[in-house]
Amino acid sequence: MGFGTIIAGIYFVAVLIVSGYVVTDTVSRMSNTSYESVVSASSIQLAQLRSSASITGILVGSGADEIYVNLTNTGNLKIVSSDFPQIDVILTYTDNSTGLTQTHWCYYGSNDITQDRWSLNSAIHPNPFPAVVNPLDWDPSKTLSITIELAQPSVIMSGSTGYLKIVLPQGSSTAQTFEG
Amino acid sequence: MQVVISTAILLIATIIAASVFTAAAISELYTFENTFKQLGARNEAVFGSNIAIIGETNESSPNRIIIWVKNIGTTSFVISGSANGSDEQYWDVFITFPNGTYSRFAYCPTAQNACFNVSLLNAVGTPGLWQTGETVQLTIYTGSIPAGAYQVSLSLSNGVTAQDNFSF
Repeated sequence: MGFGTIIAGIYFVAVLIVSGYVVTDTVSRMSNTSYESVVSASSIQLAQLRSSASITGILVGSGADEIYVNLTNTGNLKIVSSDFPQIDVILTYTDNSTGLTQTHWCYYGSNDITQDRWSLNSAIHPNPFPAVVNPLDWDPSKTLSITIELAQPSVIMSGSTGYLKIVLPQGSSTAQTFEG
Repeated sequence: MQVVISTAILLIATIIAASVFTAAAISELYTFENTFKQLGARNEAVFGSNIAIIGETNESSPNRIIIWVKNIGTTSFVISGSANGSDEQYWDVFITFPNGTYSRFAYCPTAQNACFNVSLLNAVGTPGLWQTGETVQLTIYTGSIPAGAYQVSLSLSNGVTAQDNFSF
């Protein structure tokens, strides 16, 4: 009788230990997952806070179908060249032929002349400048020179006011008006 | 002899009872663990999700409101063109019009009134996957676009929401 009670007791203690382990392990894993999620969310917010840019120059080309823009990285975050396609350029202008206001999202590096598009200004070397470090990347305080080309045959109406918004890959943005 | 048999029977009965209890307890504990794992995975997806409406415009013939939405979180979303189906059918787009009316727009892959569709503009990663830093264009087809103040709200399948006010 006593022997059976001892074995049963050992069995129940073993069950309690296994149960305790499973519960502890589950809570530990969940805590880790939650911790990593919060850290990840915080790092997103931090990246947004650390990224910033300013439009330091806008010039409409002589044909009124191109806009040259200088953007200075005023944040503390480097934007690598592979992230340039994730920069959003949204252009609002008055079309000379229709007199209507147009707002278009511009495609990066596109050769499709039926789309509004933007690219690095090929006349500027190096670009971003100055290329003291990381010649391909847009480091803090460096300036990126871009060209926005309108979908053909659109032309910006002379004397009209346009609006340019630039959104960085992390979500922070800058905007400025310009004269056509 | 009788005492030995009684002891053996009681021992076997105790072991069987303990085994049944153990099996039931372990089964319930694994269910509990799986539930918590799923909860953790969902928390990770929601905490890592963040989107921002970065611009709006309107076009005519047919009348449509276009909004651009950027993925600024770490969670990717499956959209049309992916081998894994699409997620947009679970998205909700709400627009408050200048006269105060409030409409929900459903996803339709083709251009239809009172519907929206989605296109990925600057995909640099996996096709059909809306990843970090990428922007989608939502085209919302509506009967008329009167001048005035609007509000748009987009809610994704995991409950993450972005909202913006604009005017035409």
